[in-house]
Amino acid sequence: MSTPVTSNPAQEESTVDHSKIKVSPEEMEAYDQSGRKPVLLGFFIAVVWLLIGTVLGDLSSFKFDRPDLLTEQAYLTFGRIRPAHLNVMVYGWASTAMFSVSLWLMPRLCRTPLRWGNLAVIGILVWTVGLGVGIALLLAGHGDGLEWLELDRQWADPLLVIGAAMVGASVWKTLAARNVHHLYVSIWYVAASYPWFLIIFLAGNMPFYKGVESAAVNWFYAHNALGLWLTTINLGLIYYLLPKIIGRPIYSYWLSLVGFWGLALFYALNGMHHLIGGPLPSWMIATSITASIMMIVPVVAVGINQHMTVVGRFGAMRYSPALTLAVIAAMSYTAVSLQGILTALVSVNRITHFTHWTIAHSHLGLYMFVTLSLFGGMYYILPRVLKKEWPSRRLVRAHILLVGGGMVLYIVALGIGGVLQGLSLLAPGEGFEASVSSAKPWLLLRSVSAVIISAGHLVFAYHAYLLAFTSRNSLTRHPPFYELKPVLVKKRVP
Amino acid sequence: MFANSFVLIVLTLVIGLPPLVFLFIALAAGQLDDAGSTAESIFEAGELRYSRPWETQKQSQERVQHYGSLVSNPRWEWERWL
Repeated sequence: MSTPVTSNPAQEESTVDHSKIKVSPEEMEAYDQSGRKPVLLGFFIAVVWLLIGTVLGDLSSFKFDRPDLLTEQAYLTFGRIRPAHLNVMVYGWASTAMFSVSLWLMPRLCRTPLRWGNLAVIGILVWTVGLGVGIALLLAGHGDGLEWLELDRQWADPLLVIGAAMVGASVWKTLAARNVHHLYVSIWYVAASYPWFLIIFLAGNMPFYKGVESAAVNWFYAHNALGLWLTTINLGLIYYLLPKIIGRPIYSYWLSLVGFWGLALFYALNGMHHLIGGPLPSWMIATSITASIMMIVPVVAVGINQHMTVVGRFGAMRYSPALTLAVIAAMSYTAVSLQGILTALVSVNRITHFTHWTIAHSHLGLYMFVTLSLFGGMYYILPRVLKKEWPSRRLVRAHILLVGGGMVLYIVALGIGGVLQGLSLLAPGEGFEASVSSAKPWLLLRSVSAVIISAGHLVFAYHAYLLAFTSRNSLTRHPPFYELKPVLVKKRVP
Repeated sequence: MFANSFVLIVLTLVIGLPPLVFLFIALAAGQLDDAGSTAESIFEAGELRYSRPWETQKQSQERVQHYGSLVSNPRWEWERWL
């Protein structure tokens, strides 16, 4: 799905010159301010959800080390806390922040003020109410019982659909009112994400699937939610941030288009590789594995393009936390995609399926790629919307080191633990207890990393509070990150 | 076999076919022409002429060759490109 092509003569006319007639900084500032209300609202709500999701995630992790922890109340049991963590992080933190990113990017890229901004504000609020209702019901024991689709389909999901449609309407109205003809690749990614999300979310929540079909549609949704919603808006953001901060166009615009259209055309069938070994028609599994392997084309295209854009200029990461996070996120996208392709192979899947490896893999995608990209976006966007600089370089560094280091530890620990667990499960002479024992030390390490990451989130939330609600150091003239020693590049010779 | 998977086939087509249609429309409308200037369309006026402190002399010279002589940053760094 993609953006409509206009035959508006005014836009056709602007086709010729729009990229030669540069927008002025003042004009860009006006575009930023046109979406100020929904952008700030979305980011504020996202940070609140981030903290809630962090607590839920920590509790879920601790329960692996202390199974008797907080089991007296039903709403605190693992079966409710864990899906609540997932839904809060995916729909509360990531999706709400992505609304803000979309509403900030579109006016800049379309060179027109945000349209229907108030509708977007209402959409974000409706979405948040829907999610709040869904999480409350989930903790009370009312869920749909399908992974990524646990939120109640009667009371929560309709509000999510309405909310996303309202934000999407604002995005598409802005697109329709654009003053450019050629669409930068980020527009393709962002605009396409909204109809994709609405289609897959509605399809996934239909109540009439039974048995195997239900499982297949479940993974159709879950995998596409990652690939056609979370991935797309964040790739759009990264394709904007990298060239903007470094100050040079993307290495190959053609490769960026290959990446987008490859994803759009090949991704839909990927989800069934989660059901390898299940009672599905073999052609379906084979098709899914083939589609997964074909993803190597857009993934490598994106990876090469982003690397070649930054190569030789990694020193810029010392100056810009947004670039640092965007680069790590871009690398993580390539890594998680290649890992996903590998995991789709039957021989690998046989070991990793039903183990903690899958959790490590999903955190590489949802955290190292999606969350770090959104943190990077917030470091870039908030000063421009608020017209204030982040007050503290130390807090920026502390945040990035805590969340980056913590998540690397998380992924390595659970990755190793998952493989050991899988090998133990496959060993015919070993009992199930052996697989649990082999994973236990790695789960403890995961809990340690969860605490480190949580500290990073608290630092970020505190720093965002200082930025938004105080004037402390708001106009200090300093390049953030400058103190960090250059490790990736030689010091510049003056 | 296909009866069991009918829903999934329909869903996949609903997701997979429109991009193909839009790709052809985009091609016909010239959306994919002039990739170079589209890639540069995100930059503000003069933005590519600002000196970047992390660039080597060679990279700075390349910037001058491509975009003209360098200008000093009119605003604070974070406001411009950090």
